[in-house]
Amino acid sequence: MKKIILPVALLTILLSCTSLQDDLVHQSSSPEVFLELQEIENDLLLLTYPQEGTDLPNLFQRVNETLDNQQENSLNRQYLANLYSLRSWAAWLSKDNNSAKSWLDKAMEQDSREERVILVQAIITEDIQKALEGIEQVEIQDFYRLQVYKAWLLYHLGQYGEAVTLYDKAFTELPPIYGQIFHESRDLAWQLKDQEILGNAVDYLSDAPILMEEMVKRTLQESILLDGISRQNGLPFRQLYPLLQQRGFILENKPSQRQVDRGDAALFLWMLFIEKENHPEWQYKYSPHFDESPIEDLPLDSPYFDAVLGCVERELMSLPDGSYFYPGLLLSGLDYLEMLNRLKNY
Amino acid sequence: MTDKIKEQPPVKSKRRKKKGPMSWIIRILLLPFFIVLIGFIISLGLSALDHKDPLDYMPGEILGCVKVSSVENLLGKLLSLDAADIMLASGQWADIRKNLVDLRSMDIWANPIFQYLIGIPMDLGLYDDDQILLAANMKLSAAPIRLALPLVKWFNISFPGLESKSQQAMDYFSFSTANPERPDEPAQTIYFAFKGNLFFLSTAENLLLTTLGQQALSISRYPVLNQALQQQGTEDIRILIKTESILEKLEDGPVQLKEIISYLEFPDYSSLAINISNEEISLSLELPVDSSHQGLKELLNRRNGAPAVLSDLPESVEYASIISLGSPQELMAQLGSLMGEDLKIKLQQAEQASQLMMKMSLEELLYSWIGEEWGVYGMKSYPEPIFFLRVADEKTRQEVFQSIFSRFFISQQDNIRLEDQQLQQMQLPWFIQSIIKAFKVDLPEPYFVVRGDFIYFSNSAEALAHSLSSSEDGDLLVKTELWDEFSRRISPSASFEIFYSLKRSIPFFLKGQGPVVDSLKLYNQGMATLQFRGDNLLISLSAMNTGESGILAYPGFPLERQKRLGVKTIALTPNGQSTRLYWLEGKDSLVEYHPASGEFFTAQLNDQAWIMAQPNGESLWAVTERGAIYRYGPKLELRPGYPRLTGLRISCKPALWRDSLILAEKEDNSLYILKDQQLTLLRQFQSPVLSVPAISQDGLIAVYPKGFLGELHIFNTQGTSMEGWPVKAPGISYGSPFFIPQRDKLLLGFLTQAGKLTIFDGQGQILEETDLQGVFYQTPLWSPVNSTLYMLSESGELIGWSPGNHITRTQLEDISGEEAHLNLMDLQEDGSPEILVSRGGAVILGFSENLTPLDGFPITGGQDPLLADLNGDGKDELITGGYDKSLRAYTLP
Repeated sequence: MKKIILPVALLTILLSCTSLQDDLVHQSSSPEVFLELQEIENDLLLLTYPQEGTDLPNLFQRVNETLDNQQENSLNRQYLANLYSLRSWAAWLSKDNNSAKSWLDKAMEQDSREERVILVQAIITEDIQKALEGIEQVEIQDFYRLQVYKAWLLYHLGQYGEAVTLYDKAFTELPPIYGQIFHESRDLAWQLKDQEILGNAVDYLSDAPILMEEMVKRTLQESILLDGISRQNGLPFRQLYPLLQQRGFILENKPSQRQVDRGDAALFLWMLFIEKENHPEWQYKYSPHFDESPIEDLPLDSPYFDAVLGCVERELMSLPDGSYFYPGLLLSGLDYLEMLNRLKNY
Repeated sequence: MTDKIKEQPPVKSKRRKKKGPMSWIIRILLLPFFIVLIGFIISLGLSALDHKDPLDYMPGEILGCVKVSSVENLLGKLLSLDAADIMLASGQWADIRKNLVDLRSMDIWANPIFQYLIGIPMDLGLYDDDQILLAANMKLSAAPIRLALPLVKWFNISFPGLESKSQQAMDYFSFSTANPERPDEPAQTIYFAFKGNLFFLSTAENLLLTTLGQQALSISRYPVLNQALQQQGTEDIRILIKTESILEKLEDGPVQLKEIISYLEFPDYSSLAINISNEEISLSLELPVDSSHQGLKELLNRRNGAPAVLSDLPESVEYASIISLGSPQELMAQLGSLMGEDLKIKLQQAEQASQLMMKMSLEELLYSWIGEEWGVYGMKSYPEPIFFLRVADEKTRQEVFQSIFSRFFISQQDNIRLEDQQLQQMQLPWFIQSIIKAFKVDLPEPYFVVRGDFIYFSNSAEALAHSLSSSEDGDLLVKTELWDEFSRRISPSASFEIFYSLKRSIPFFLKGQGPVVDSLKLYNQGMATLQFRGDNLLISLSAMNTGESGILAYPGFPLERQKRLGVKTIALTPNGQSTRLYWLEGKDSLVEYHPASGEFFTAQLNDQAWIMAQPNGESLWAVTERGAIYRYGPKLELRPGYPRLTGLRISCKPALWRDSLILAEKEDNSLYILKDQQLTLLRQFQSPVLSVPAISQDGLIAVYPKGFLGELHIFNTQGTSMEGWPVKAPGISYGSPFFIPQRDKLLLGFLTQAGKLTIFDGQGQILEETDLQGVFYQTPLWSPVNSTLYMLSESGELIGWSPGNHITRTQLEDISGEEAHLNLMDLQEDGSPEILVSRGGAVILGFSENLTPLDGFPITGGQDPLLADLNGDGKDELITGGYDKSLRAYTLP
């Protein structure tokens, strides 16, 4: 009997193993796989909005490898929708628009309601207005990625207050990488939200230092403060600039192509101010009253002394740390615009 | 000899006591009291014997009727109902919302006598042309009114707007809200009368007279109406409404339901019972129903047990729709003739295709094995729903499936094992898909499993596996507390049942917009059933508010505006009035908003401005940079004598003390006071005053004219300096000096931009000096409750400083400290201040007095927040403007 039982048992086991082979054994999608998707998304964000020092080729390679390692045989439609949408995003970054569309279609078949699917749909829609219209079809109250992307679109459309409102709430709910990547546009939107800009706002979006020539031209564009001297903008710039130097608005040794520093700005603004208030006697208002300078990095004999004290007292400019003025620090266009607006509103 | 005289006992003389004038005076004074007392007792007796029924008087031709079992109970609930705020948030309900807010603010609700008087039942009838009739049986509460009415008449006591009338020997009153001083304002008149214990009130005089004179057939003469209204229940409200208005609501329901309803006969009126509170709402509608259609009649006579699938649903179910009307076979037999054309065509096509491809009829393919129950459910964390069908005959089902899979064009994937569950997948033939698509179901390649008496289908294998595993583990919906709560309120024995969570799905009767729907959505979890009970159809809904707590958006907000909002919003809530909000928009517009009524008022100023509220709420001040001073009352009506054009160029926000304004001028660095419309120069300085002067409770003014040679000044409203002042400022600053109120001494604080904090005594002597190691742009805030000074550095460090140099610090992230402002508010109403940080970003941050973050923050907004009671319920809401031109309001926990 035993001689029969053993082979029969072995045969049974073999046969059952064979039948087991016909079953496809799957695991549920664990939370970890969604974390991996987040890592891929972080990398794609860095590729889309490169930060200084990012090694783009290596990053791209990593993204593709990680995508290839994902479980495409998963039965979880939500997971697959997210995965395919990230594949679409990666394809779009490689300029393979056909693949991008194809992967996006697959993602939408799995679950078109997933936030990443809607996000990638907006990203690969290159027209800003169309992308915005697409996002506005969706209720995004709990979709913080979409809120950030919408903020970015609004920023580019010049709606700075709306952009910063969406950014700030969404950042509190998202991984820190979103704040890192979008902080620049957020900070610029914050600075621009209250500024009156008559010219092209794009001119102020760069944080590069402005030149003396730009300072004068921006003043002509954004205000009427130079109208008297420039004869209502009738005077050509090549005549206006030396006239300003002559009148003490700009130091003689500062050519128009020199970058503007805080001392230059203080002098220029102070002279505009006393011109506006019609108090030419204020040009050297302070120096007679001081035996030593109250500001540590501004000597009494500095050509900027009176201008700096005047600008600080009237809150046209400030002492950045309460003690020093930093006269040699260069200014961006946006910095100067803020100071000019304070002067206009004084 | 002396006779002994026996001493006689003293004789008590019966002298009558003379009644003095005082006793007569007392009797005369007490007489009216006794007369009134007797009169009251008689009135009580009459009231006790009075059994008049309002329904004997109310005309029967009503469009609808509301029956309230206790006015006091209902009003108490409605006044505190969050759903009422939601329902009335939209502009069309502005008038009613305003009345609700005004009612809430009244103190009388707490009066026990008032509560007793209104603890009576009431009927409210709605008639043609929007006429309303209210009828109440005041019972014993009518006794004092019986007594008072004649007195009012005899003594001709009058009240503004109240007029006594008489017509056709019927006495009644009218009350008008017309204001003789404002004849253009729309006014409303109501008419009311007392008849024994009965009180009637109407918006139409004729309707009231008809009622009093019983000139029309009353409700009691309409048996159905009368019976419906006589029903006594425990509900808060019973409403009688025209049945057709309910059926309109089912227009968006499943197509089959619409078809069925069209063949049913309902009475003209249906009775709806409602119980409502902030925690839950229940509606119950029972209506007699009949049908001439034989199939439907049989259906109506069915008795349902609880659907069997309920015992298998996992506890993670968030919504479920279950139909147990009968098997498809039965339904086809009974209701086949009621199908819509579209479905008929699809079924015919399916029949042909089934014959051609499967060599089976639909009867054999589907109807032969599908049982009475079918439906769909969805679970938490699984977006794909699961569909189920009851299997009436498993053997037949297996045979059919074997036959299906033997066809080459039907694919079946290998068995799949997931979470120890064995699943199969199939590709449904197109004609089956077209049938189920008619029911808006999309199942191209479903996974399926047969378990017990049911077959389950889903596009998601994971959802299916999880559902089955949960059921096997005994984690069932019917074992949850939530289910327990619902099944105590509604029987699960129904032909049609919906269990829902609004987080996941919106049942058809909650789709769409509208105040009623919006307020029902507050009750985010619910169950609705439809049961046939012989001659009656019973529709029930029970829903609970299991929603979020914490800081939530207030109904009707955010208010979206067209222009940028100013940094400050102000609320005025004068005594007995509802709150008004004010803010600046764009460059020079001032806006007043009444949350109660939704009204806006706008005024144009002549430049950018600052706004300040009179502490007693009596008026709002606006001062422009060009020196124009405006003083407004309600609806932005200028007070006499304003605007006052001063010609000054104002250099900073003015200070307001009582009725006086302190104005800083930038042209000649002067300080002025405007009092009683007189402008007086107070002081002149070497440099301009660029930060708002501080004013103590006694009217002392502290000023810092900004400059490197700047000084700190304290003087009174006549401009006389205090002894010891001015003193040299310890450094340049962006902020103002600030008073630190102490009981017996004066202290002044000053914080320089470089972080030097100095506390001076009343004589200008330095008491304390601290270097806070930071850069500061704002004036610190003093909290007298915990004797702490709060300030925010430019790098975002929030600091709390107490005398004796006790310092606490916390670092805030991503905040613009240069622009940020601190605000001290008692959000939790516990006497301790909370610190809110505004203007540092497009969010408001919140911290406790110990600088720990508050739950629920940050919230979207950004401009300076304020607390104000928007709906008159005695609780403040938090209001803040946003940088996206929106004004936001939040309820606090």
